[in-house]
Amino acid sequence: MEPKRTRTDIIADMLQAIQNKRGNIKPTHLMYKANLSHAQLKSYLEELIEKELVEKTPNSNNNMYISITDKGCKFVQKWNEMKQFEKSFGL
Amino acid sequence: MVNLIYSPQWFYGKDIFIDIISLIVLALISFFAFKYYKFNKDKKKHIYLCISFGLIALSFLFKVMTNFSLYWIEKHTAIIGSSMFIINVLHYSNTLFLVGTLVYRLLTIAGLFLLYLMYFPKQRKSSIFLLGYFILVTVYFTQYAFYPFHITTFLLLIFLAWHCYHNYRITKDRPALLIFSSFSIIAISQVLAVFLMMTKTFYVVSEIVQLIGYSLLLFAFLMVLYYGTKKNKN
Repeated sequence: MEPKRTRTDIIADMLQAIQNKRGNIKPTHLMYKANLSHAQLKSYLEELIEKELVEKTPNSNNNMYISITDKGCKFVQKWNEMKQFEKSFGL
Repeated sequence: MVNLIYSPQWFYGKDIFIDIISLIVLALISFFAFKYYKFNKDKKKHIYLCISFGLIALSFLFKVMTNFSLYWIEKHTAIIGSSMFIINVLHYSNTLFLVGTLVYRLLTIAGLFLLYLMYFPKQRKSSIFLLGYFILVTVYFTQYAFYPFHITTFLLLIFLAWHCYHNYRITKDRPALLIFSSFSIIAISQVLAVFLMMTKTFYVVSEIVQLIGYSLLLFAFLMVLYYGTKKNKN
C-alpha cells in the first residue's frame, strides 16, 4: 500500500500536473490529475498562489487557467532531484 | 612507534590522500542530504542520512589528523634523535594514537549504526539499546586489538549493501546498483584490513580497495545528480 501523501507531496503533484500540461491547466483538470477534492484544491491553490508558485490567468475565452511560475518550475526541478536521490539511496 | 603505524613507510601520505578523498565524498553526500532535508522537512530519513555520512566523514578527519601527526613525528624524531626527546615524543604519539584512533573508530561505527537503524527501522527499543551497548564494548576493546573494529564495520556494511541490493532489485535504478557495489567494495576493504596482522601490505591493499569503493560512490552520486536534472529536461 502506498503511504499517505504529505502536504509537500500534494503540492509537488499539482505543480508537476501543471508542468505536464505545458504550464497551463484548467482548475477542474488539475483537480483530477492531482487526485484532490474541490475543497482541497481550493485550499492548496490559495497556498500556491500566496507562495507565488502558480498564478491565475484568464485565456481569450475568459476561462480561468492555472499557470506555473518560474519559482514553481524551480520547485519541481529540485523535487525531481530529491526524488532521484531518495530512489537511488533507498530512502 | 612501529606498533602505532599500520602503513609501510613508502605508503606514508598516500593513505592520507585516500582518506581525504573518502572524506570529501562522504561530506558531499551529507551536504546534499541536508539540502534535501531543508527542502522537505516531512522526510526525516534525509537528516538521518546527513548525520550518518557526516559522522563517518568526521571520523576520516580524525584519522587523517592522527596519521598526519604520527608520520610527521616519526619523520622528525628520526632526524633530531636525542634520547630524552624521543621518550617524550613516544609518550605524546602514543596518547595521540590512542585518542585519535578511538575517536575515529567510535565515529565510524556510530555513523554506520545510524545508517543501519535508518535502513532497518523495525527494531525493538530493547534491541537497539543492546546493539548500541555491544558496539560501545567493541569500540572500547579496539584499544587492544584493531580487528574487532574492522569485523564490526564489515558486518554493518554487509547489511547496508544488502539493503542497497534489495533497493536496486525494486527500482532497477543504475545509480542504486553503483551504490550497492560501492558499499560492497568498502565492506571488502574492511575484511582485508583484518589481515594486517600478517603483513603491512594488507593495509595498502585495503586502502586501495577503499579508494575504489569511495570513487564508485562518488560516481554513483554524480549519476544521481545527473539523472535528477535529466528528469527535468524530459
